[in-house]
Amino acid sequence: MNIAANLAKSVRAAWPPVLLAAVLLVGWQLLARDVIRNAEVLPTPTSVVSAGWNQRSAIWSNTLPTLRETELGFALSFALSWLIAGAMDFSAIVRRAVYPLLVTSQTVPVVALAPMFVVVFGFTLLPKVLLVALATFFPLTASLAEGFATADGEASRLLRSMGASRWQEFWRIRVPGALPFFFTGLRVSITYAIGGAIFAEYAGAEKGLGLYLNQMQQVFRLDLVFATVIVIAALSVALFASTYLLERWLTPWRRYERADREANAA
Amino acid sequence: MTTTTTVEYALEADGLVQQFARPGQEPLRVLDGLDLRVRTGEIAAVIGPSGSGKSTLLNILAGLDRPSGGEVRVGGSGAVAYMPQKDLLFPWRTIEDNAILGLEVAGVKKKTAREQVTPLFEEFGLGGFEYAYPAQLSGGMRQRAALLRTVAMNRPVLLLDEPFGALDALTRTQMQLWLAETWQRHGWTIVLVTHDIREAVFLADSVHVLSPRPARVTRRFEIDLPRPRTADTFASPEFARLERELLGALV
Amino acid sequence: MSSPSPAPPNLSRRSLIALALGAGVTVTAVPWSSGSSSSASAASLTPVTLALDWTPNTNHTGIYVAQQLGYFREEGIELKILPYGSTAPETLISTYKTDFGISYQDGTTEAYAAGGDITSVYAILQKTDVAIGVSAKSAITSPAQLDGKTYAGYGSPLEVPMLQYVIKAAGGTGQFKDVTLNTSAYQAVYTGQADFAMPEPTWEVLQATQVGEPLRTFEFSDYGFPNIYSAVISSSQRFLKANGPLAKRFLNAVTRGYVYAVQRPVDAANLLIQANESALSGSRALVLESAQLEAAQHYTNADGQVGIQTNQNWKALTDFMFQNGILTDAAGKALASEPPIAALFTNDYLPASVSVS
Repeated sequence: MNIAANLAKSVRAAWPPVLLAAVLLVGWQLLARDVIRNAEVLPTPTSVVSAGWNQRSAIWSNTLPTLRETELGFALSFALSWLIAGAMDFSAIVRRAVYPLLVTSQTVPVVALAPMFVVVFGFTLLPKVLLVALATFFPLTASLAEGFATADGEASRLLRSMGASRWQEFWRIRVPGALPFFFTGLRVSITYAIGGAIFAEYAGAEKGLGLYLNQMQQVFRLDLVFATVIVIAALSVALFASTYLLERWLTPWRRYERADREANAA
Repeated sequence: MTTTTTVEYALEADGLVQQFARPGQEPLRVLDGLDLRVRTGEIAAVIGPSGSGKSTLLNILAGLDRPSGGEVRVGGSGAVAYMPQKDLLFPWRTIEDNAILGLEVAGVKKKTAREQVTPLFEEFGLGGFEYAYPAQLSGGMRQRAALLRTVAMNRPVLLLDEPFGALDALTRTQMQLWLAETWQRHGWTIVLVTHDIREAVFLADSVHVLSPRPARVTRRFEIDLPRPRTADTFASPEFARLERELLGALV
Repeated sequence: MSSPSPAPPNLSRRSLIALALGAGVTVTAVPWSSGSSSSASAASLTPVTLALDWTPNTNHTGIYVAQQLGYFREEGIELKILPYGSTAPETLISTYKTDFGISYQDGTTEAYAAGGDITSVYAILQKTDVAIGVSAKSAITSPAQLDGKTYAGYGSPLEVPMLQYVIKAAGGTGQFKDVTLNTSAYQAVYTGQADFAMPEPTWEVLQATQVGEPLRTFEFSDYGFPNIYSAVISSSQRFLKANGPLAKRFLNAVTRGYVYAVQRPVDAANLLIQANESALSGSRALVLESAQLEAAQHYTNADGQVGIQTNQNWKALTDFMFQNGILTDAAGKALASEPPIAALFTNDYLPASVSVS
């Protein structure tokens, strides 16, 4: 009974975008098949799907290396961001010294650095991991630092009046308070992570979705280019969605905050 | 702060002076010889105009700042339980976990601390909300939760900074009635900082009036209204007289 | 006011679980076996890297034949092909990030002039694989008529001097407009945006005919321009000096692969496609035609040999490049003296026999 009601609700919510997507797909098919008629300019959706399916083992064997690079680069970024944001929170001098460099790290284009890294490190995993870390580091660290900074000064005073040490203050107030900010930065970071891996592979990789994408472009197999793009997009969406799940799991109190705000606004 | 004091007074502040250095100027003197004596088990209200250095005084009494001159003595364990103006309940902790915060910081094990605070929930009107998050509570309930946290620390003196200031008038009156009744049962020593003349007269045993900056205690009123104080107390002629007197001292 | 909820989640525990899971995933992602294929170490094969210059194409046929038929393994070599990204094989060779790389005569020469440690060890294409191409529909029947026309190039410093040489040799003045468009140069000629380009006879020219937009071509050698080894395998002196026997084994397998490609072009083409399904399965016909053309005209020299390079060929092109100021050092300044020809190439690592017969 409950399942049927939930299903009906999902269908009601989902049908507008699904319908729009279907219309766009049909339009694309007709446009490619009957108007453009050149697979090197615009392949049909059906050819994209069939080509992707035909080459699924090649695509899959290229997906794993990219995921590996993304995961390792991101893990490095994550560890560094907590260390550095934490240090910035503890020491004003560290904060003043690090923050400008932090901002600069964001402006360096991964695309420009990638070939240099390959020349230095070769076709190994390391340059790609470093580039992914570089691409994801700034949003994580900046949002975390901001999260620490917005810790209520009053709450710190309260905790001090209770006799808490600086360290206790950090764990009891700053870390939990910074979590919502961290997740915002996490979402931004994740969108850069896979892109960073892809760009890093352009410069030099033995396998990977970026390399595969580049190669298919070079031989004008647009159908496989599209198929690869779809795979990349699906991965990014999956990662992105998982951040919401993780956030819900680790910051359950936020659910009530929004409801509270809405109730007050009503 | 030293820990020896006479049995009568839970908190004694003698000749408190506080000044802050200003570059290229005379230092700013905020407190100028402030004396405050609070008897054990009484509610002492501290009332004064804005900018009279109330927060400076609170910081010193709560042990967050050292005075430039004078001293504070607190009986018992020597520390004050401070309840700031904003409830400052941590949004990521349940009400129960917020209540045990002070005990946790003092090193009490979580399980023991929870057992200590659980009996108080019903009395504080928070029965059933132990596992709720602050976002789910109304303003009045949050203030009561903050007070529960303050009380749970088992310190000799409670220092309350305008605890009902953020509430609407009706809730505020309800809270004043509730506090009077609950205090009656427990007998805490409370230093209550407030803007509200009616609140000071209704709740307190003594009212201490601060002068504008540099602040000293200029007047002391004994409130000898009968206890327990109830809604009827508001209507009594003695109440009105005390209110007028206090108003006269302030304006 | 909402009703109270059941016992709250332990957020510290959840955070620790999340961190532990994350750490676990990270640990499994690290390639503990240092990335090299375990089969290589198991069978004690020596890994050798070869960097490609583009996506796999018919220039690489012999290499993929040797790989697919196991010639490299027979030499005790585990071949690692490094796909083309955005870094030139010449750079990878001279920075020792790859053992061998696919290059071309002028590319290797330019890299050497700029101070790179690079030398050519095997000539894949014995004959120049670029030609001047105009649309078959155009009125141009001699390079002399290219004066004042538009050229769609790809930004190599050799292009313009080459074209000027041929145009003048044909009787023109050598003045034309140069626009750099990269791969779409040939599209530019199809669509009429440019009048001429420099397509490869073994690929773009065939492709043009296949799509119904044939090109008319003028061969550089017909106008006296030096022969170019349009595809070579290059390496660094440092690698060669330290791994002489290994290099010889490598080129032995390569030679066998190209000999096979000459003798059995269709089978070779199929092996090439088999090794590169995604990249080449969509252009089977073109691959087959190209493989057959290369087998017939480009892999072997006049004596029926593969891979071997001549001092005469190297000197002729290097002289031309030096005299036209094309060779620059690392700072971009034209070289004061011509590089020693003997440093640019070597036949020392070829097998004893490079004849196809």
